[in-house]
Amino acid sequence: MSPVGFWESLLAARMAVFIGIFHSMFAAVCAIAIGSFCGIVMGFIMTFARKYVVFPFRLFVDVVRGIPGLVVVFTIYYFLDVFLRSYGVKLPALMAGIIALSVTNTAQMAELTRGALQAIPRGQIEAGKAIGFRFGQILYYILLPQALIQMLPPWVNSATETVKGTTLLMLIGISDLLLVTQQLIATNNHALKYYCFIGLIYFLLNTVIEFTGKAAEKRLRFDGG
Amino acid sequence: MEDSLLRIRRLGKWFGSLKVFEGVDLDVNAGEVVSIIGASGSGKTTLLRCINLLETFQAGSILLDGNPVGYHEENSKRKRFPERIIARQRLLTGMVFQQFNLFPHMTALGNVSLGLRKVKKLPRAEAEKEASRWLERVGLGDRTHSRPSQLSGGQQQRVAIARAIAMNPKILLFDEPTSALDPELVGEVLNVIKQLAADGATMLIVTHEMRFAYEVSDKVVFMDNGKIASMGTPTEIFEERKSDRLKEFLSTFNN
Amino acid sequence: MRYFWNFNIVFAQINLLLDGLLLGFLLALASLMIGMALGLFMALAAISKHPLLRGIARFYVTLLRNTPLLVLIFIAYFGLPDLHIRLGKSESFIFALSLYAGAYMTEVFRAGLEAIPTGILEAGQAIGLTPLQIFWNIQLPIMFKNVLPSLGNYLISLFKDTSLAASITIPELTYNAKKINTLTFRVFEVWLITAALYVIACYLMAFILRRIERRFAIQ
Repeated sequence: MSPVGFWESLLAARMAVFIGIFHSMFAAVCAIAIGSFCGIVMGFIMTFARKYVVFPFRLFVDVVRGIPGLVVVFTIYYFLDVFLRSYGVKLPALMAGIIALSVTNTAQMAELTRGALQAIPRGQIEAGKAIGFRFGQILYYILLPQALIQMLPPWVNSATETVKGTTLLMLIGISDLLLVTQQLIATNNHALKYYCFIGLIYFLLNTVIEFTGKAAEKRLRFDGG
Repeated sequence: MEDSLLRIRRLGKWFGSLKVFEGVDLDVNAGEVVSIIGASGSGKTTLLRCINLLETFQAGSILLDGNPVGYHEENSKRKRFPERIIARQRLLTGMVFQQFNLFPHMTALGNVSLGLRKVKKLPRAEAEKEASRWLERVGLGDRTHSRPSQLSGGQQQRVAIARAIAMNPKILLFDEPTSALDPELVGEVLNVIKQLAADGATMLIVTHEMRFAYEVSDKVVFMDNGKIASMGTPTEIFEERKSDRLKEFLSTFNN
Repeated sequence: MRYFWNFNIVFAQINLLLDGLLLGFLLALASLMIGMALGLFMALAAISKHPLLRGIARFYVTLLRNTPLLVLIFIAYFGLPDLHIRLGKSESFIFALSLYAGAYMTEVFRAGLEAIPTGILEAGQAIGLTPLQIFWNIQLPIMFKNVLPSLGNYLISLFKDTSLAASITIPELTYNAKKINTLTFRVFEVWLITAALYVIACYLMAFILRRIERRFAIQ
């Protein structure tokens, strides 16, 4: 056994652990916010714009969805690093990480939005036109509310995926929860306990997100389901 | 009077506190065709499902060929037979469902031969020969290798009839066999059932086809409000119309 | 900025990348198989009448779905030795990915089993099949045909997840890409080619799986 017990060493390192949690959460929240906004806009464009406008977005979404999250993280990190270094700027790794997670999230959200919009019967748009709405009004009053409610469960799902995805950031040297833990483990030998502890924290975070999502869904449903 | 093939005594069925039927007595003799008519919700489908042991029942008894099925008395307590025995008892009856319920992943031949192979333990070749014989009987000798999705509703129901009868049951149960069919497909199914009746099969049929019930039945049962309200020959039921409820029910059918 | 492209240096190492791709695919396939076996048992537990079994299945799915795969990999590779269980790198990774896949398979199989109309099962009962025969001859084959498209999608998704094996230095595509990156410093070329390889592999798999699916589909 090691001289220092697990709880003692955890207590001693609590600040580092908190900072790790903070980094992970900060990255997740930024990525979810940016990804949701860009993704929803992109989804609308992909549903309603002309073919040649849709094409680059379609390509972006399909390519990003075909690449593992970790490769997106590495690619963006190394690209930005080389690019900025040529101007003598040092890249903050956290920023690269947030951009990478946002890119993945955007592609996911764009596809979700497109699917949700296309699932709305065409009659809804026609009904909107019939009462004299302009396209913008149809979007805002008819399509967006219906699409958002449809999207809520997969949105929650992709939020938990993003939270889990923050663990990838340790691999580009961001001191997220997992990297902090790994450094702690190097100073003692409680590997199993520490990793289970981290797993538990992520599990709790995601369960809270999932639970909140389910509660929100229950309140928002208008089909009485 | 001879022992009847199916003997139901004081049968009672509740869903929780909701009564479906109570005190039902019914006899079906070998070779007899009995139709059950009545409004939806009168309990006729549930009665049929009890006979096939797809539903539990809380009171009374069902005797098939003289033996109780589903439940037995043990130390004056009512006990349900174990699932394996129930599975064997179901072989005494054959069931044709309203929604056909064909196995979607098998051909017509596969549907009919599955029970022969797995329950009757016939070797595959023999089971398939037997199955195609039954498919021919229902007029589908040329569709043995079609999947349910490639068949019309009427054809699917005829496969389902072949599947039930291939197991050589003592009595065939039909649960509104034409209710899910387009009107132009009803005739072919009814003709198959009439043919089986002419060949001497024992059948209990829940139906809304009054003309068919009149033509094919030896006995007609009118269920109303969870009870057998009237029972008699087709002439007694359809022409004499003894009770007011029966008159009211039959007047909703124009044929 | 000025950058002198040189794809040749990377293409000279293309075999290393292709080997990594193949290894990733094999890791994904092995994990899918084990995950399917696990998922089938858990799905049966999830739809069973026994509340304890249902609880176990539910707990397993929630726990595994809400824990990052990378943490699972570290638990398997760095953590389990604390319990005197020493697995090799690939074994640890397959162990973690199978557990992870099993949780998703549980959900897929459960949905596939529940989607079978009860009438079809009753038809099986009506011809005298025992519950086990009904499960084997009716539920299982219909379920597999129902879930075949999702299985394909999960295989692709697991294949992408194998990039995480790089974190414990298993020489799959991402790890080898990083290695070439360090050796050659052709940052843009390496990652462009790697990303392209992943995209091509994913779409090729999707294409092949669609064809298989069409052959098995119930029309």
